[in-house]
Amino acid sequence: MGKRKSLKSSSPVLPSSPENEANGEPQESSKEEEDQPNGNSSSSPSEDSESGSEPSSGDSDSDESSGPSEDMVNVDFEFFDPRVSDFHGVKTLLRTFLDDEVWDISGFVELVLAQTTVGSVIKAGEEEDPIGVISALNLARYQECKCMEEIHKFLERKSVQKPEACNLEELWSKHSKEVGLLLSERLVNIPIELAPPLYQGLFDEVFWATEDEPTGELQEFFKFKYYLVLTRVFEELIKDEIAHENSAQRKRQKQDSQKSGELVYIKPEDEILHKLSSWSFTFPVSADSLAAHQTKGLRQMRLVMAVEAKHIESFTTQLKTLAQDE
Amino acid sequence: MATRSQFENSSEIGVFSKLTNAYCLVAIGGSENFYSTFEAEFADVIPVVKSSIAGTRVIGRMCVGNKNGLLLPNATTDQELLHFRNCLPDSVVVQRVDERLSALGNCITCNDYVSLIHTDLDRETEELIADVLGVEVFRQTIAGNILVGSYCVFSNRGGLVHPHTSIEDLDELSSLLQVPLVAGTVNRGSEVVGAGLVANDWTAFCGLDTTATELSVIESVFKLREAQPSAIVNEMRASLIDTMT
Repeated sequence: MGKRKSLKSSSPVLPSSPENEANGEPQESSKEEEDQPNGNSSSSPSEDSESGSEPSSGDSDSDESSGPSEDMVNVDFEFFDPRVSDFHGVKTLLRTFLDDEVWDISGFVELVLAQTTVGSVIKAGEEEDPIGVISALNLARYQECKCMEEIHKFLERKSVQKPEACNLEELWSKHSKEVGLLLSERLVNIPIELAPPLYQGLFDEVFWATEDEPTGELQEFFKFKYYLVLTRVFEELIKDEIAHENSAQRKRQKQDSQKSGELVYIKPEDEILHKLSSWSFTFPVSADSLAAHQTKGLRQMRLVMAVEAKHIESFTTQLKTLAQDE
Repeated sequence: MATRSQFENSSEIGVFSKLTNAYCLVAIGGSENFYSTFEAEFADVIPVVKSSIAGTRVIGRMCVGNKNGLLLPNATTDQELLHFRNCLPDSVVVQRVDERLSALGNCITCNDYVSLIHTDLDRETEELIADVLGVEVFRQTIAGNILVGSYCVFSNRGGLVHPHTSIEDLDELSSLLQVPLVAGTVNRGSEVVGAGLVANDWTAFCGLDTTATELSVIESVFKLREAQPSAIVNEMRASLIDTMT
């Protein structure tokens, strides 16, 4: 049975259907992938109908509805321990974790689901499909797993020629026992109010695990000193870049990490984490299919950063303020 | 033989491919692995055609076909239509269908003789299916679901349906389709068997997440194991002459 962990966060949201939400892609507004049967589609996947009908924000103060036919419906989001039955939903959320790389996602999802003490799944109800997942995986604990090695190789490849490559390598080799891979994926339209309890819940669990885990070895695994984050951002393209953009995309140009383009964060908490990070670097998303969803003037990038555990309290406080201000 | 495969990390094989006894359609993907899996199996036997439908890669859900014909949604572009006509054998009639329910792969499922369709499909479309695909058409639901193409996969030898199909429904469908049916799952408990599996009379492909149990059920209901040499020894022995003295 999934343990209910924190108070529900309600916000008025217009749901399309629970199935559509659950199987929607978190980051890409993919017009192609359709895991969900849709008899009435004129080749429009679940995302199109979802984004077409959702209101602009989950603002609980204003009661706007954009059309006479749209009703505001209250949805309760709840956090649960990961369960084996969440496999498909979590796999869909993590499908683009390593962009278009072919890797052992199923194995990775199994790791996340097996770690029930630290990690949560956001669902609209206990028997619903997951619409968000958060977890922290110790690098050393799972270093033998094929999926972890593949993540390591992927990051190594993407950090080649970057000054931060040695910092990354240090985390993986020297400090791996104290590093937690912080993964947080959710559907893009989930309201920001969910983020503070989500992260607070995770860090609370990490702390409880250091005391409550049955063996000393397991307790050690949660004494994180660093968190490694791999997330998705957009980078603003400056004018002359847009013109050369199409040709540049094909060539493997040396990525100048001091790009003058500003970063646009998909998840607001990433901005706070980025400010608190010890080091970070970005790399462009390689997939041709993902790149096709580029919005004009924005390039999709991945952001890798390391945040020291001592900054986490400041992070959770700043996140609370951010959510309240929205 | 049933083979596990994946399309760019997705186990939903039935979304990105279409398999019949006369041809195989495959979506254009980032890596060639998916295409090579089919090519390796079918090489000179049947053509493996790479294409998109209406610019999308979800071709398995957009079209429906058998050895007699192929039906495409009205959003299919002229180039794609021409590409199909050129690459498929002349015996296969390729036709574009003007139908509101354009995800034909979700609404229609068929083998070479009989088909099941979504209850709300137009009469004209029903006639077209009977004409082009040369099948008998039945309007049915599967475990209460109207998307018969998503929840049922069957060949001329056997079929797999939604796991929650009742025994009575199973018997009724089985007698309609004249093939043995089994209610089961694919891709580690996924109920959408149409998205996770493609099959024809001698082979099947399912997603990488499919468990060994699911795979053995698939091989047994689609009678794929009979292609193994052991069939000769075990089942045909009585009619074979071993030695003559």
